[in-house]
Amino acid sequence: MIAPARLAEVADGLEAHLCATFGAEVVTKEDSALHRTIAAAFDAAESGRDKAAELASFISLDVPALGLPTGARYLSDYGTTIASTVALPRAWRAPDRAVTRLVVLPHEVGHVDQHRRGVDAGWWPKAVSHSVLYLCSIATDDAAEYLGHVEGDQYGTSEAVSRWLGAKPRPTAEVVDELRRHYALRPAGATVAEATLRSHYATIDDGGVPNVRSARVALAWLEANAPDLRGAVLA
Amino acid sequence: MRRLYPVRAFLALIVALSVVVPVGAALTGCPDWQRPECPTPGVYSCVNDWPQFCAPTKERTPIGDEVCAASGRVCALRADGVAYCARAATDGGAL
Repeated sequence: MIAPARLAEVADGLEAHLCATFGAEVVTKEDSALHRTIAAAFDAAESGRDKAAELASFISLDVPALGLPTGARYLSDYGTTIASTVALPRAWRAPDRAVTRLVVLPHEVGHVDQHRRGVDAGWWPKAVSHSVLYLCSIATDDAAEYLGHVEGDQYGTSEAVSRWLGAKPRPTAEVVDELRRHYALRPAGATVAEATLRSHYATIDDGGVPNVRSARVALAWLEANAPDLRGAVLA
Repeated sequence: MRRLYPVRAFLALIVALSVVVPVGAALTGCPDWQRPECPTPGVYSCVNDWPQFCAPTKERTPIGDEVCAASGRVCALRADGVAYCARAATDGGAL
């Protein structure tokens, strides 16, 4: 049994190392004006759906739920990365949530790395190519495949860290289903995400680390600085 | 007044283009992710020590963001066709 204070110490050290390596910044979500605005937008979208449902009920039309989080849940339950800034809920700073940070930070900082490296998207500048393709993933198969690629890589990173901490393998179908629901991922994107996860799982099952920079850097740091946590946290 | 007309028309055209073009691009211009073509969707491959997958749009899609050698491994195809980063073969020495 690893003490929560030790887990918090390791999470703080990993966070500092990942930020220094990838040029990322970690902020508290509830303190961010941008994320409070996004939370308000989620509430407004749900409120709009409720009003539409009320009107539609007069003609016996069922308006489906949007599948979006409430504003409060967006702020308190999700880590979110925009450009080089990772926003984490304040509650995750508590020692009893240090494990969440250990698993989520390498995943989110990997998105910072993807943003900073950019991608070949024709005439679009590399500085915005990752973000624009990500946002377009609900509109085109090409962009959906990009989202499947980058999320597949980062869920592979999460899986590698979780297994290093002692967790059992998480079924790839469960991850892909989560991506479909959370990102409204088109079938082409889901196919790429599943193929990507199968490759990373094969590497992990063979005793390796996914060929994702954030996974390699995070696990090398954990091996060097927290060998006591290996297989002893999520078992 | 007649002399002003072409100037106003020109300014109107500039304003229209400066508004309409960016808005139009924003609404319709999702970028294409530039990748090499591949013939058979669903098939994995190793290219320059890097696992790849032929996506549904018939474009060769990288898996991961670096070559397998970065973590001391080598790209290989598993028996079921999945490309991954396998243990690098060790030199057994020579007699």
